[in-house]
Amino acid sequence: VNASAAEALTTGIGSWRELVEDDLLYCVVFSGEGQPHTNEPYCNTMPYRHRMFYGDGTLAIAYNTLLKCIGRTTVDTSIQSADARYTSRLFVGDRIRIKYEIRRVRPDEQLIDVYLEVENENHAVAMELDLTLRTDVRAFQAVASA
Amino acid sequence: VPSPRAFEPIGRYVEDWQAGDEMISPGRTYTSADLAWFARWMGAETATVMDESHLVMAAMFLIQRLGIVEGTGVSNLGSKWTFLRRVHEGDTLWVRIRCVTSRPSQSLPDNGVARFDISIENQRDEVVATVDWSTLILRRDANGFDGPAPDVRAS
Repeated sequence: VNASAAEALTTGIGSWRELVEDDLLYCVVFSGEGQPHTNEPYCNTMPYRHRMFYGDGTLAIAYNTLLKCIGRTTVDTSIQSADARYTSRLFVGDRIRIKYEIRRVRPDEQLIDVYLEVENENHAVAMELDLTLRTDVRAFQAVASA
Repeated sequence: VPSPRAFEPIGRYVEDWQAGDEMISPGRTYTSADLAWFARWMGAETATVMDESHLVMAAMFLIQRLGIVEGTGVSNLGSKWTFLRRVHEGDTLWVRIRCVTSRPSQSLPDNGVARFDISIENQRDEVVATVDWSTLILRRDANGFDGPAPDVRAS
């Protein structure tokens, strides 16, 4: 493992991204889950008050943002395991960003362990995510250090 | 304007779940169009294998086909995923969902917590992913909510 490349991979912060109605609509299409995310009067009667954003959609956005941050476009990367904890709710209009930390690189197994948080603009953590990524570690590091 | 309560939940309440309850969803074939739409959303290149975060949402789609949390699901608490095989365009998936535990919430009187073991299988009966899923579900005697939003971490 190239030490400087590993160091370059250690931590990172993604750009701010606003959750928009299009994101909610895509989540409806992909998850098939409409209630309660699309019924504002109903949500007004519930603890979350408004149409809350999807946890699974947050995971998808966070993972794909991570891949852009660490050079997915040239290295095939997939998830071996993911442990997601949803710690506060997100809504359309919230701005979010990811903070990630590469905790362990396992070249022999072609695995990388990543801890990732999604935070809103008040710096409240909405999701904690432990990921183990399956990838060509050497190629991955070469891209990251380029 | 119709009452929001005109929507009567068709999903199961937390009291309706018993450990060991198991269901199998209908199947769904994932075509190149599915993968292209997901890639478009993510601003990624279209691939012939399914992004695992797409698979997460696909699994939820299949669970939703069962209607078990329709109107009774309150909040996704967390999920532990293990991805065992790639899903390729043209594959057909379904889920097998089994209740592990179901109990009233200790802090949210209107809610309960249910845990499920889920396996996602393809047309060759191969398990492509497994999930340990925890979710907050309404109790049958829930009466709506007038207070501040609760902290779901305390559930």
